[in-house]
Amino acid sequence: MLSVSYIFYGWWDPRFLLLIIISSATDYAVGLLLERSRKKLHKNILLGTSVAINLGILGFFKYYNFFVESFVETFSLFGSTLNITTLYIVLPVGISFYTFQTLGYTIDIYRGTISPTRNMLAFFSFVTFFPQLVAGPIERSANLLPQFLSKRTFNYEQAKDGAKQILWGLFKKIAVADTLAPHVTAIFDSPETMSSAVLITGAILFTIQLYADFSGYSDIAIGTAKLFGFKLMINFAYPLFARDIAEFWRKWHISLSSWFIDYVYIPLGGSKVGIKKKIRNVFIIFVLSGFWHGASFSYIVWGLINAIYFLPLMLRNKNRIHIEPIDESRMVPRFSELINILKTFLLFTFSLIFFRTETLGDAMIYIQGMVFNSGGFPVAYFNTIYLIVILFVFEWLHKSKDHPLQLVTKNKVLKYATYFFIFYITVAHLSNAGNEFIYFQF
Amino acid sequence: MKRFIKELVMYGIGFTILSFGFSAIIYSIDFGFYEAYEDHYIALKYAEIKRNKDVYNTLFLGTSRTRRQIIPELFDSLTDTDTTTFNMAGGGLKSYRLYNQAKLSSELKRYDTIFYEVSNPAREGNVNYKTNAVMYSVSFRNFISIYDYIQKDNSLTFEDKFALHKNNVLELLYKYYGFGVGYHMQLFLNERKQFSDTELNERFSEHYGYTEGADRTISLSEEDRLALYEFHERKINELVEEYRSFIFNEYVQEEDLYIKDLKKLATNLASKGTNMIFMLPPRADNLEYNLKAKYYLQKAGFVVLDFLDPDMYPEYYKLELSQDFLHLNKEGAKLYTTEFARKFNELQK
Repeated sequence: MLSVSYIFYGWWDPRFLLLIIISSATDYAVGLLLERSRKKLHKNILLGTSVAINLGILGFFKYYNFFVESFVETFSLFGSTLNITTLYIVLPVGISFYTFQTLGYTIDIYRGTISPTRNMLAFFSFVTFFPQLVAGPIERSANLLPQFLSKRTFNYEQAKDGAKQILWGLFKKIAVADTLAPHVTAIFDSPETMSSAVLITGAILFTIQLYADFSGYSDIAIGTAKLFGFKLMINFAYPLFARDIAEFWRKWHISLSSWFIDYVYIPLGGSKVGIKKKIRNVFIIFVLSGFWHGASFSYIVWGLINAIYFLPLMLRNKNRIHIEPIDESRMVPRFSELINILKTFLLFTFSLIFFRTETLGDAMIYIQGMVFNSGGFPVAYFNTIYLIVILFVFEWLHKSKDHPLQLVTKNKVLKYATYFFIFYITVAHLSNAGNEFIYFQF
Repeated sequence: MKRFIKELVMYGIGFTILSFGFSAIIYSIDFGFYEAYEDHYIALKYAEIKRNKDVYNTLFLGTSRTRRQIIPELFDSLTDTDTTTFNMAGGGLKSYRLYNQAKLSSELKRYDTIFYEVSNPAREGNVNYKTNAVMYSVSFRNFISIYDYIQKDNSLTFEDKFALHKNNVLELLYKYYGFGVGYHMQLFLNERKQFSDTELNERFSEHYGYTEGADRTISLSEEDRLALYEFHERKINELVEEYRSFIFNEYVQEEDLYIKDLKKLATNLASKGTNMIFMLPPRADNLEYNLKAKYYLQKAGFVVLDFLDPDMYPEYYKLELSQDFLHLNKEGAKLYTTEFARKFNELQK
């Protein structure tokens, strides 16, 4: 499994295999040393070493230019000119994902929640497990590592379920995300020339594209892992049906948000502190979450906006009112639920304008255009609507399942007709395919 | 594991068969999607003859050798009959794309004459079967016809045949496995493609579909320019030699399905009052096929205007009248159009 994973990653650029090996070796060694250490100081030094090496690599490859440019700009405000050159640095695919995964392992040992493994092969395989290496889910050592250590046998039912989940992931990526992609790109590339209606449509289409693209990848990764007998954590739990922003963040990119909660938010005191610190903690995790996506102020603002959405709910103790799932017995949501779902969807859609545009200036132009630009209604985008309808209908009807192809119907003919339908719709849109997964850039 | 793989293969085969069936049904529903599938320039030309269907009464259909070599204004000024000509030809527009163009154009109105350039039906391996324009011309019937041509063309080497068969199979698989169905389905929901009068006027009001080939030697150094001329001259001489040494043998050169399709189309158009005249512009890219088609079309009573013979038309093989080794330049085009009009006038007598 390790060699397959290394070949998979090295196919893109073998030079960056070295980074994964450094990261894996550091945390493997630090893990063992942490177990031996008795003194708190030693433990702190070891953890600090792991954090410094992992975040150092991540920081250099992902944030170096951002910090240099920001530094120079700040000095220029005071009339000084600094000549620090930026570097042309290629961002290694998946670096943010595997760095957090391996870092989580060391922190868990530091806290004493898991014991380090002596099985080097298993640990290196855990860090580089190919289905989830480049875009998650960011796995926890407590879940995935033991699966490498125990003997696995082929499980027919699990493999079958994995194949169905891969099919659903491919549908989301190829049929939905890649079909929407050219429309979204055209709209976001020249917002000045688009009408308000087109810009609003563009923002909505981007939300659906991003969801289909990223959750599609997660489904493919989880499904592939199932074929090999592994069970990965759920990364998306139908977030577009969330009834408020707090529920949304419990369902969207779960592996990252729960990572920040476990390793940043709770150590800072979480919500069991005074109001000021509560507010600080919320801002910290949302801003960090934005910054994790990339070195740009747009991502930070995206995080800030979501923090602003979330805070009123938390301060009024309403952030956990939608813990219970939506009534399963209902084919259609209640009117109040529908309004809440739409409200949450639109709030998130608005924040994603900052996520999609390259600079804050571009985002402001887009938002201005959404309000002031004149022009017609975007009839041209109706030709993708059937794909969005299929996506939403299937996800709504199966929202209690791990994925929508765990069909609720018992009718065999209907089941296989549905599999064929999804297969065919996916194949039918293959000519649109070819776009990289959006989250590969992170 | 065995059971899982067995089921995966079984469903793969089953889904493939179903995909072919579904695709065939979906593609058969066509509400005039030709313009949405064809290359922009060809779609524009089709829009132009639709817009001015009361104006044009004569069409030239063919490849770049017709597009760059027939000047409609000159042709109309030289013909004895009242022709108003439009040049519908396009670069790379061969075989069944051309055939579709002839069929669809003739459905718009009854033309007096349609000139049709003959070329072999198989697309070369470098033609991208994924493009919409190519995909539109693929069908089960055309697949068999192209297969038949490849098998019957004796000038092809084993490697050529293999490459052409591969391309033919890929085209069919790509289309009917359903890879392009998404585009077709979106056309049901799309607004119909509209071309503005301004764009059509800009493109066609002066030259009526004729396009002069661009001078590709402008950016070259003197040395490179001379090398390029030498290359063209050598290739032209090869074409001349090929023609002179070629011996046509009707017993070896079997008629293929594409030629039969052309005959059917011409007969059908004739019954509607349109005179379909086949043409072989100078400098053949597949001499054997051109002469074979000429033989069988003439045998069936159709007119074929043949400009291939370098001894009869030596001027068409002169370097100074060449754009490149396969195409004439503007001066050459004037000469060719003039001679074409003369031959056409003779036919009308």
